[in-house]
Order: sequence, then C-alpha cells, then structure tokens
Amino acid sequence: MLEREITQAALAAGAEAVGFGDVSEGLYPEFGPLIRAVSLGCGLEASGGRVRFPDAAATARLATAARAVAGVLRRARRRFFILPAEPVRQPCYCAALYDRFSHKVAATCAGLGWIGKNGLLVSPQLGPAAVWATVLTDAPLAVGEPMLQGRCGKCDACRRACPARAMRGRQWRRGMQLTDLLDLDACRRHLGRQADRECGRCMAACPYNFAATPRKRTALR
Amino acid sequence: MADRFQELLEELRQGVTEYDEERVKVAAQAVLDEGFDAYDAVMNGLAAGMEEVGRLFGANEYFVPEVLMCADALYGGLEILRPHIEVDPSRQVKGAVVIGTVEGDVHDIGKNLVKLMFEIAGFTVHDLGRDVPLEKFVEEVLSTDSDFLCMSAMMTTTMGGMKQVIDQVRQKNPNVKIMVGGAPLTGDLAQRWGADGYGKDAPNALQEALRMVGSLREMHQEAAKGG
Repeated sequence: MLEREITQAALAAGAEAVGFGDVSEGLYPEFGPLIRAVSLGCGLEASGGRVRFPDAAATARLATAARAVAGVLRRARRRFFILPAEPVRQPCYCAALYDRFSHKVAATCAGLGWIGKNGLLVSPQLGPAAVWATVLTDAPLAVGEPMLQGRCGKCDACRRACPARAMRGRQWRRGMQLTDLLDLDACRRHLGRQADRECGRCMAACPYNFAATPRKRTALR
Repeated sequence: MADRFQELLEELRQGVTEYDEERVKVAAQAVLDEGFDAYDAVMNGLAAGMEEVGRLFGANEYFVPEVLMCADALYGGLEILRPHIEVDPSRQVKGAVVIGTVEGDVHDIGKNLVKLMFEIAGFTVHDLGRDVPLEKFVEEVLSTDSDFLCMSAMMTTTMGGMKQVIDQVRQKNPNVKIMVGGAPLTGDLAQRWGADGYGKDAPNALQEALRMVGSLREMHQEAAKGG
C-alpha cells in the first residue's frame, strides 16, 4: 500500500525509476533505524551523442520527487531522510551525512541496476547516464531483489573507450570498492587535463546508454 | 494580538521539532509581516523548538538525521528573522566565540550545531572549521578577544590536543569560557582539563551551548541592571 503510494508520488513528481531496498548491511550507525531506501532515478538529457551533466532539470525533478516521497512517509508517521542527487546545491546541516551513503548502494539493493565495469550505476531502464537520489526510511517497505553482481557479461566497451585506460575490466560484486574496478587517479588525471573537466566516454560507450546510442542495445543482446 | 504571537511561536517551535522547513519559513515571515518582535521569535520560537529536539534526542526518540533536519528548519527561519533583530544592548549578548574541531579530526556535526546556537544568540562566530591546528585556536581566541572557545574531537587520538589548548588559553586569559565536546570525552575529563562546559554528542552539546549562552546573558543583564 505504502509502496504504491510512494511510487505514484515519485513518478508524478518526475522520477523515472523507483525502487525499494534493504540497506541495513554496512549502513553508518548515524542513520539509526533508517534501514530501508527508496531509490529514485532520472535519465540525463542527451543531445548529439553527448550526455548533459550536471543536468539541472533532472536534478530538480529528483529533488521534487524526493520531497514528495518524504511527504508520503511523513503522513504515514514514518521517519525519513533525504539524500539529494549530486551535485548538491546549497550547504546545509543535513549535508554532514551526504557522503556517508551512496546512491549506488540504494539502487543496487533495490534491484534497479548494477555497478558496471566503468564504476557507474547501470540501470537496464535508464542506462548509465542517469542521476540518482535516495530517501532513507524506517518504514518496513517490501524490497526488491538486490543486484549482487554486475551483468555486463563479456562487454568491455567502456574499458576500450577510456582514454585514460582507467578501467580494470572486472565484473562488479557487492562489497567491492570503486578502486577495485577503476584506477581513480588515472581517471582524475585525465579529467584534470580536459578543459571542461568532462569526459563521459565510458558512459557514452555503454550499450545500455540508449539515450545517446540507441542502436547498441540490440548489439549487446 | 498576544494570542496570535503565541500561536506563531508555537508554529515556529513545532516547525523546528517536526523538521518542517516550509512551515518555519511561513511562520517566520508572518512574525515580520504582522509586526511582532523578531528576537523574541528566535529565542522563544526557534531556539525553544531546538531545546525540545535535544530532549527528544536524549530520549532516543530522535536520531542524528532528524536533529540535522531540525537544524536546517531552524536555519530557514533564522535567515528570515535575523536581519530584523533590533540591537538592544540590554538583552543582546555582545560576544564572540571561536569554534572548530581539533587537528586530525574532521567530524563536525556537533560543532556546526553548537555554532548555530551561538549565532541564534547573537554572537559573532569565528568558525575555524575542521582539522584545526592547536596553536590556531589559541591565536584566534586572543586576536579576536573572544568570550568563548568551543572545540570538539571524535577520536581518542586527537582529543588530547584540547587539553593543551585549554592550558595555553587559560595562561593568557583566564576569563574565556571553554566548551569541549565529542564522543571520546567524559564530563569528568572535561572538568579535570578545566573546561566550563561539556557536550557528549551533537544535541547534548547544543543544550550545553544554550545553557552557557543563557548564563552569560543573565550575567550581562545583571551587569546592565547594576550599572
């Protein structure tokens, strides 16, 4: 019941993917009883094969959706805490907890996607080019089947597309660190050299990136 | 008229305790629009609400996320009300506070809440931020001639630095009120080090800050009456 109400509120407010996950494992103790996550996703705008990031419209839609979800939980007399989509706008007291939780954890626990070989959350619904927000709650929501490992198979398009050769080409499993998948320093060094500090080739190369490359999805199958 | 103001104060209090920023903002704006006193609204609305939040945390009804949301709600109201506070020397504390987390420590939730309480009370806050070198605290307290020094540490490895700072500050100016906080400390230890106040965790620190600010204000009021 509550699940349906939350989903409807989130979709009506502009979220494109909604799921529920059990995030109790490894959760920072500061979050207390907030062991369920409502994971909210929104695809990034793409034009000319390039993805827009940051996408202010997508971030704003997710902010509205998160507030709508929080409103449903408040009315149901449940606890909640909103972790907004990145990049976070203004400084606030709640920001002290933002870096203690990852939206990728919420989304994989909710079964909305897995971590690709490029370290990005890959959602079959939205692809890798998406922004995510999370609402943590103590409401005993029925949760989705969590993704415990990557579903990239033999595909390594992102690794081949990376100009910094930052990807190790390993299949993700739950519990892995980002550094197990990527040489973050190599990625950062490359981004530092870019005038606009953007690269995004690992995103664009992904066959699930249907916004930018609709053809490739069939190629993967 | 008085009833209406009571109603608005209650809105501010509840808006803070129920972490409803919009509600706080609406009530704060109503305080101004209807010509009520902004300072009164801050102290007996916003700050009173935050005191209740501290109590709820102590009773395990609220956790850290709720306390932070309450602080954000409070701040939303404070931003609206603060520019309209009339400076009245008999009730406004003229004071300054130096605040930061000690070298090696980057946990600043408690520090930020305590800072907020001092801001509400009308203090000038010199926020040194996180991971502050010990000598910086001493320098800043002396150069700004501050009345308060607040330090916190979350790790046993870093908390010892606070004792050094207390000793050095006391040598140079024994009148500075010093408050320390953080999980590894105990009230006993804080007292032995010569601190005037101690906050176990963020919300407790907040209550302690309110108490210290309150006692300082009483002192000022007494002095004002006497003079």
